[in-house]
Amino acid sequence: MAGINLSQSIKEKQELARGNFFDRSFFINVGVFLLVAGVYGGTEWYLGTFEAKLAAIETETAEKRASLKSREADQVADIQARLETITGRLEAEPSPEKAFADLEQSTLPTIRLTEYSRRESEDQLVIRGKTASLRYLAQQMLAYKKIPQVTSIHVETVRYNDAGEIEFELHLLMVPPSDQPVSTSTKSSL
Amino acid sequence: MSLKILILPTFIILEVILAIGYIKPNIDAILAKRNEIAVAQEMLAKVDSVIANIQSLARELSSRPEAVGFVNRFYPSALDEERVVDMLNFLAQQSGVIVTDISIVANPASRSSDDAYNEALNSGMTPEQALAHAEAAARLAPQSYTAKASVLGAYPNIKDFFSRLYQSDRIHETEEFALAERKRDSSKADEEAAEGIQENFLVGTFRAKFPYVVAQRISDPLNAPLFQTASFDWQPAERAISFVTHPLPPLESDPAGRPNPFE
Repeated sequence: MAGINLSQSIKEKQELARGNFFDRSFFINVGVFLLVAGVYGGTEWYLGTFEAKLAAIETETAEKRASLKSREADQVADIQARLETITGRLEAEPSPEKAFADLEQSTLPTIRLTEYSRRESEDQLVIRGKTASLRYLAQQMLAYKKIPQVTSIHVETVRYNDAGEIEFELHLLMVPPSDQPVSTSTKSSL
Repeated sequence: MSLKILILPTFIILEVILAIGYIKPNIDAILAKRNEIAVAQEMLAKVDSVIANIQSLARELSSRPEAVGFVNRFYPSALDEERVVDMLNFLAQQSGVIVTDISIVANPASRSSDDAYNEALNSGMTPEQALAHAEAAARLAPQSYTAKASVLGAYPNIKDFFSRLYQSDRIHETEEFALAERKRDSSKADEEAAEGIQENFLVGTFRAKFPYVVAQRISDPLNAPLFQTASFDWQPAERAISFVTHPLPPLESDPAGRPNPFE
């Protein structure tokens, strides 16, 4: 054993080291790294396709949205807007037929009207008339008070004329047409 | 050998950097993009549906020209004082009353362009945009004129006249209707009798606002509730059509042309 040289030469040591460096674990590490890098590449590609898809959808949406503002759309919207106004107006419009029917029903035989005037903006009804006695006038006021749409009655003037008749002017405050319950096709009263 | 010791941590560090610094943000971005795509597809579907609805609604409108014509006559897009004059005359004749006076006055715009301008400025528009907005708003705003008519007739006739006006085919906002005793002039009794004015005739007054509005344009069809359905609600139109019992015959002018208009 005395003649055996157990020490390695430098060249052998380098070869051994290189052999150890590129061993199995090195390749496993590289493999795992490449896998991770591959995942990264995959996500980048996937993201790219998503972005392209989103851009395509957005472009298509923008093109179609531009075509939304068409003559047909304006025409439909115009008719709809007019119909909404018409419906609202019909509901709010006072019916003279109903108003006169109520007036006829509520006016006493002892009273003769000389003027009837309804102003919608003031929700007020002005009634002028003639009668023979103040009692008849009071009774007439009571009769008008019974009309559900009348909120209050105010005597504006009462005077005797040259013929000895009593001339009066009453102001009746009405519930605004918009606040009246809709029960029939016609609204309002008096 | 010392270099080999560094290999494993180096790779791990690189992988962690890739995973945290690049892959994770990408995955987050993919998830976000997926949501964005879902939202964009929803929007596209909505746009498609609105386009289909508009086409369907337009087809429906063209299939009901009589209803569309009625709506356009009832609430016109242009000043039509001649039609109101014709209507007052026509309905007076039908009711047996005599028109004694008609006056028509244009009403100022209900909302000034200054209001629209200030509103637009407050909503964050630039002065130029606000001006354009105010001009457009003024152009599209409803306008109106007030017509006042006085008639002579017996009580039932004037009542009938008011009822016919109420159910006429022209939108209006009644401001006043009144009935009053007529002031009699005994010196003109014979003259009045010759004109058919009877003792019991009253004076009827009708005053109403007649609105009109230019063709409307839709600013945002996508979100308009009207275009979320494919069929038109004809009920309001049918109600209005059935409400009108005294439509006015179309007004047509006689052939024009005179060699001397002052003769």
